[in-house]
Amino acid sequence: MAKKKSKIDTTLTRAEKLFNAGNFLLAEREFEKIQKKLNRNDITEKLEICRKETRTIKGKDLVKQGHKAVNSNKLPEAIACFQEAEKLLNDPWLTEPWITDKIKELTHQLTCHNMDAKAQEAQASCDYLKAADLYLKAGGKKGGQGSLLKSAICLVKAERYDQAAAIFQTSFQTSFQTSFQISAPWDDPALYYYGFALAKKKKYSEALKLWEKLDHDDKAFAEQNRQVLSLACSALYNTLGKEVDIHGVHNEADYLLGLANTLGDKRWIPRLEILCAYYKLILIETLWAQEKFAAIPDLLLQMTAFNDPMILGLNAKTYFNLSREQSKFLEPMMTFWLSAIYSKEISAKFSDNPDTRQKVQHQLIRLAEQNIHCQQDSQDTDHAASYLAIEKKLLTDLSAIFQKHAPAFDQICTPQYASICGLSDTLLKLIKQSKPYFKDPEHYLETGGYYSKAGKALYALKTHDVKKAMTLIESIELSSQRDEFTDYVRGLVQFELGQVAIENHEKEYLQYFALTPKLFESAPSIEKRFSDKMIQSVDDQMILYEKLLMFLHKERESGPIAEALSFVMTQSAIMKYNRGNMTNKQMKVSLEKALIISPDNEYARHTLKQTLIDLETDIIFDAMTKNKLNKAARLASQSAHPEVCDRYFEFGEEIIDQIAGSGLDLGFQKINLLELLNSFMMVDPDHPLVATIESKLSFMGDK
Amino acid sequence: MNPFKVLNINRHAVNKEIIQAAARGMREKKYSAREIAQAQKMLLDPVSRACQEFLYVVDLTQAKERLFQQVRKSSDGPEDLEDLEISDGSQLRYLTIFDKNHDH
Repeated sequence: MAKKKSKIDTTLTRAEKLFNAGNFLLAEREFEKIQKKLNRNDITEKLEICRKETRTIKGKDLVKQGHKAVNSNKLPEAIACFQEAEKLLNDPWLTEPWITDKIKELTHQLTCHNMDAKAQEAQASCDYLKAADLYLKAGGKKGGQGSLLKSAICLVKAERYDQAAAIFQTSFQTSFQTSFQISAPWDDPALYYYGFALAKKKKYSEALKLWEKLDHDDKAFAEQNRQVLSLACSALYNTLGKEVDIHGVHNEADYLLGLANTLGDKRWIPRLEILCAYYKLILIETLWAQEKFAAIPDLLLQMTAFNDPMILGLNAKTYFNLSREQSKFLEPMMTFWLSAIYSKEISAKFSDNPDTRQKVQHQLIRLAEQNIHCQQDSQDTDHAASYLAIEKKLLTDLSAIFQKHAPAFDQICTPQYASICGLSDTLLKLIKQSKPYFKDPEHYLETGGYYSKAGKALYALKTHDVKKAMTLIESIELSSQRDEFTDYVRGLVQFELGQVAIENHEKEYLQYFALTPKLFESAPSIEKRFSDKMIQSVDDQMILYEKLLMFLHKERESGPIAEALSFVMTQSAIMKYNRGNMTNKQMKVSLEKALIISPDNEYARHTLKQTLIDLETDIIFDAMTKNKLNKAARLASQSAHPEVCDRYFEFGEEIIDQIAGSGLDLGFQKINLLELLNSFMMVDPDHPLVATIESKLSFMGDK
Repeated sequence: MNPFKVLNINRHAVNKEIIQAAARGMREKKYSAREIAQAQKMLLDPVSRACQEFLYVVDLTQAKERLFQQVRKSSDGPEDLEDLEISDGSQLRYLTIFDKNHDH
C-alpha cells in the first residue's frame, strides 16, 4: 500500500512541476492519470487550466500555419487553419475577432481567385465577353484595378470599345490623379489596348499620345502608329472650312506634325506643315482681334516661311504693340521694325508715290522713337535707342547705295533680321560689291561689320559695353573663315578695350593694341581721330600715351601717328622738365628725337630753340660768374640765337650794378668795368651798355 | 490708340465714312471727343493713315486662301484613296504583341 501511495505522490509531484513550468500538455496527461485514482477537486481545477492552455497553444499554432499557407498562396488550406483556430480560441477571454475577418477576407480572395481562373479559361478559349464579365466581377469583388484593366482588354478584344474605353478612362483618371508616372497595374498591354479603343472611337490623337509611352520597336506596331496618324490627319483635314475650336485644332495639328516628323512620315509632313500654317494664321488673326498680342510671337516663330514679308510685318507690329506695355519687347521690336518698314513689299502698300512712301517710313521711325522714349529709362530702352540710331543709319545708307548700284536687290534689312533669316551672306556680298560707293573705308568696314559674324560684338561696342564686345569676339571661332569685316571688328574692339585699360591705369595695356596697326591701315580715319585725340590730350596719361605711340610707330610709320608721337614726346619732355625730372640737356635730346620723327613739329622746334637758348645762357652765366668774361663774350657772339646775346647783356647789366654797389675802391671798380667793356665790345660794340660803361669810366676818370 | 477701333470702321473706309463715323462716335460717347478727333485726324492724313494701317490692320485673307487651296490640293492626290479605305478606322486590327502570354 505504502509503495502504491508513493507512486501516486511521485506522479502528482511530476504533474505539479510540469504545471508550474507551464508545460500544460504533459501536466494534463499526468493529472488525468492521478485523477482516475484520486478524483480530487483541486486536480479537476488544474486539469481545466491545462486544457484551456493547451487549446490556446494549438489555436496559436494553427494561426501560424494559416499565415504560412496565405504566404504560399494556399488559400483553402489557410482558410481551414484559421477556421480550426477560431474554434479553439473561442473562449471569451481568448477572443480574437480578427480571425473571423481574416477568414472572410480569405474566402473572398479565394472566390476572386477562382473567378480570375475561370476568366482566364474563358479568355484562353476566346470567349472575351465572358472573360470580361468574370474579370469585372473579380475586380469588383476585390476592388482590384488589375482585374478591371484585364476586363477592359477583353472588352477591346470583343470589340466593345465604348465600354472598354470607359473602364480604362476611370482607372486612368484614378491612377494618374496626382502624377503621370506609369505604374502598376497600368502596364504596356493596358496602355496599348486603351489606345486601341480610343483609336476605334476615332480619338486618334489621344490614342497616339498614349502609344508614345510604349517603348516598342515592333514593325507592326510602328505601322499601326502610321495608320492611326493617317486617320488622325484625315480627320483633321475634315475640319477645314468648318467652325472649330481653333486652339484645339491648332494644337492637334502641331502635335501630329511633331509625330509625323518623329515617325519620318514623309507623306504627311508637308501636308501637315501647310495645315499647321493655315491654322496658325487663323489663330493669329483671332488673337490679334482680341488684342492678345503676347501669344502671337511664338506662333510667328514657328512659321516655316519666317522670311515672308507678311510674317515680318506681323512681327514688327506685334512687338510694337507689346513694347508699349513692357520695355523688354523693345529690343525684339527693333529686330523687325526697320526691316519691315524698308521691305519693298510692305512699303509698297504705304503709297504708290515714292515721296509719300518715304514720309510714311520716316513717320513710322518717329513712332518707334516715341515708343522707346515713352518707356522708363532702363537697359532695354538704352539698347533699343542705340539700335534704332545705328540701324536707321545703316538702312538709310544701304537703301541709298543699293538703290543706285544694286537695284535688283529688294530686301534691305537690319543685321539681326538678316542673321535670323540667313540673309547676312547675301548682304555682305552686296556690300563688298558696292565698296567704291561708301564714303571711306571705315564706313564700308563698319557697315559690313554689323552684318558679319562679329555684328553682335560691334553692337555691344557701340552701346558702350566693351567687355561684352570682347567676350562676343572671343566666342567667334578663330578657325572659321576670316573676312575683312570680322577682322575690322576684332581690331576695333581690342583697340577700344586698350583705351579703357589706359584710363584704368592697367600696367599691361599694350597687349590690347597688337591689332591696332592693322586696324589703322584698313581704316585710316580711325587713326586720324586717335592721333588728333592724342595731340589734344594734356592729362597725366601722357607717359602711357607716349609708350603706346612709340609701339604703334614702330609697327606703322604713318604721318598721323608720327605727328602724334612727336607732339606727345615734346609735351612729355616739357612735363618732366617742369617737374624737375629732366635737365635741359636731356630735354634737348628728347626734342631732337621728336623732330626726327616729325620734322614738321613746330611745337618741338620752338621748344628745342628755347632749350638751346637756356643751355647756352646757362654756360654764359656760369662763365661770367667765374669771371671768365672773354669766354662768355665769345659764346654770346658765336650764338645763333639773338636771345642769348640779350641774356648776356642782361647779366652784364647786373654785373655793372654789382660793381657799383660793391663798395670797392674806385681803381678796382675801373679795372672790372674795363674788363667788362672789352668783353661787351667783342659781342656788340654798339650795344647801349657799352656807352653806359664808357660814361661810368669817364666819370670815374674825372675823380 | 487704334483709330479704326475708336471710329469702329474697317481699313477700306473712305474720308466721307471716316467723318460720318466720327460724328456717330461723338453721339455714342464711347470714346472722348478728343480721342475721336485724334482718330479722325490720323485717318484723314494719307501719311498718318498709312502708318495706322501698318500698325493696326492685320489682313491675312489672301495668305489664308492661298494655304487653304494648298491644303485642298494636297489632299486630292491618288495616294489618299488608300487613306479613305481606312478613314473610319474599320481596318484597324489590334496587335497581340503586348499581350503577356504573347511569347508563349
